[in-house]
Parts: sequence; C-alpha cells; structure tokens
Amino acid sequence: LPRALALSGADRRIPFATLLRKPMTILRIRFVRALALSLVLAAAAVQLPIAFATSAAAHEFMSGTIAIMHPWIRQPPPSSSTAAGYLSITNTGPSADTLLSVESETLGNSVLHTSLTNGGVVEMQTLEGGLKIEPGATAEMTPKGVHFMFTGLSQVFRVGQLIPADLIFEKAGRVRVAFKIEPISFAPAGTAQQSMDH
Amino acid sequence: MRADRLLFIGIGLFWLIVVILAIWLAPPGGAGALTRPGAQLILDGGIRASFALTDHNGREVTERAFTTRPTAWFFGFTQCPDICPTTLAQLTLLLDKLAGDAARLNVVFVTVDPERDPPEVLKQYLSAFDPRIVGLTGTRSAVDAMAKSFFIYQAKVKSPDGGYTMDHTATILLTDAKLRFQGTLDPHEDTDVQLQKLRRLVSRGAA
Repeated sequence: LPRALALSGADRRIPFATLLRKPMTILRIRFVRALALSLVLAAAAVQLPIAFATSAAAHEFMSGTIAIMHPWIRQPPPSSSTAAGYLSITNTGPSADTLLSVESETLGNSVLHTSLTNGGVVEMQTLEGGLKIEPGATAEMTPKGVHFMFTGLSQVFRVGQLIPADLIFEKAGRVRVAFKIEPISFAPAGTAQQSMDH
Repeated sequence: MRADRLLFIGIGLFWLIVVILAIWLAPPGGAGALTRPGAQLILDGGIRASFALTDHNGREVTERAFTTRPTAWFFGFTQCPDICPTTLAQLTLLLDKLAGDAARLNVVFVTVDPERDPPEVLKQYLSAFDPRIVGLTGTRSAVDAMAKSFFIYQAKVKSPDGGYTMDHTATILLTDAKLRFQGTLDPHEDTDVQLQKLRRLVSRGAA
C-alpha cells in the first residue's frame, strides 16, 4: 500500500534510478492514464452522436401560442394499411385550446383516438370533443394512449420520410406540420416503452 | 462527539436487527407465494388448450408445437394501429435483451381477425419484427375457440369509416412447457419487469 500511495502522486519527478529499477511500474501508471483518457474520449464519442440524434429527431412547429413537438408515425409493418400518429402539444397562451382533427392527403382517413385498457382488454375510442390543452400545459399523444388512427393507407412509407399534414385546432385553427416516419422500434424520449399509469 | 458516534452506531445496529428480523420472519415471496395450496389449484386448472390452427408459413399446428418450452402468447391483428405494433416491437426488444435465453422461449402472435389475416398476410406483417415470433391464424371458429380457452376477450367493433376494428385482451399470457398458466406481461409494465418475468419463466421451464 505505501508503495502504491507513493507512486500515485510521484510520477512528476520519478528518479532515474527508479525508472531503471521499476520500468514496469512506470509503464503501469502510463497505461492506467491512457486507459482513463481513452475512456473519457470514448464516452464523449458516444455522447456526441446521441446529442445530434436527439436534436435531429426533435422537430417542432409553432403557431401563435401553440407549439407542436415531434409529430411521428410508427412505420406501418408490411400488409398493414393502418398507422398511428403521435405528438405533443404545449399551450403557452392564456386560454385553453382543443386539438380537433388532422387532415392530410397522403394519410387518408383519420380519427382522434384513445386506446383504453380495461381489465387487460384494449379498446379504441374516438376522443369526443377533441384533445383539450389547458394554458401552460403540455398534452402528450404517445403509444398505448391518445393517437391519430390513419386508415386505408396504400403506399409504402420510408423511415425518415416527412408527411405533411394540417392539425385543426378550435382556436389556433389550421397548423401545418410534418409527421416523421420513425422505425418500428422507435420509442419517444422519456416514454421509452416504459410504464404509463392510466 | 463520542456520544454522537455512539448514537449513530446504535441506530445502525437497530436497523440491522430490524432488517434481519424482517428477512427471517417474512413468508417466502416470489415463486413461493404462487405455490401456496390455494393458488396452486387455480394455476393447475389453467389453460386447457387444444387447437388446430395454421402458422404464418402455412403449416398446420396444434398446441403440441408449444409443449417443448415455455411460451408467451399475444393476441392482436394486423390492422391494429397502436397497441399491436407497439407490443410486437416490445416483444422484439425483449427477445433481443434475452440473448441466449430467447432460444428457450416461444413467442406467439395469434390474430383475432382471421378474416383479414390469412397466413401470407401474417407472414408479411411479422417480417417487420423478430423472426422468432410465430403467427397463428385459422378459421373464425377455430380462432374463437382457441382465444376462449386462453381467456382472451375479442370483439369486432364497427368504425365510423364503414370498416371495423377489434377490441381484444392485450395482456401477454405466459405458459410453461405443459401449457400451464404461469403469469402475464402487462403492456404498461417496465421493460425490466417484463424481462425478469421472462427470465424466471425460462429458468423454471428448464427445471
């Protein structure tokens, strides 16, 4: 232990004699340092693409006091002609607004739906009256919850493709957005396929 | 200073004793709780499955295809926009995380909409997910009978556009290699909880 202590603070001026006698120890210190440095660099290298990925994935649309974050659609598996669209809406205005519907030439028919789980049974219900966003609040549309159901889809969607659509609000009116096609395994940040209390 | 330290040690010792007592006195949890006599009756009388369906490759299969190892059963349909692709993506993730243990488990997707989901449609649909997931379909009456024996609720619901959608149980059922009910995965659970349940299922399946 004393030797280890001495060495840990000692390499600033290692006597030449020590260097001759204990080259392996010196090498070990160098090795540990190199390892630590490489770990830091590796961590930074891993962090960077993640930071880029999230900033690239997060696309946002504004209209007055309504901000719409990352409208996305899970890429429909082949042979499925339905898809679900998700997004989140923040209302920074002084009064509540309501999301009523979505219109898109590419996405065909749509219904504002919620998946309700009752005793393990899932049923989809039309969200009567739309999705209300209180002032200062954020309404989340995420998998297994509130979503747009698109039906009668015939074309193939590519991951990364952007599909233009208009969201219709009671007060903000028509807001142009683009739904991004995300891979089947996609889970929005924060929800990450985790539990959501209903 | 000295009194402080004594107090600190005293509190530490107290909690140590409490924890030891709690562990010693507590009834066996986990698997033990499931094997108490009352629960055993229900579990042993669980799924009495016998079915004749077709898999996504067009092969006739019966329940015997699923009696060599434990199985996770999910019921859904390919025209389901939200729950089904989300859950199948989750099962794909779980199989990936199970790594080597995945080979000791069947994962089955049974369609509750056989009219729109013949084998070739299932095959296409499942190509988007883990290739180890097996799709099952059949005649309406065969699927009805099979779902009923697995305590699965399913009902056709008309939608405003003239089409229909299906209400269905989305809970994933777990059976052992003798097709006895072993528990469930809830779609709203954490991935880690689901992973633990599957690991326990396959380790018991090996015993």
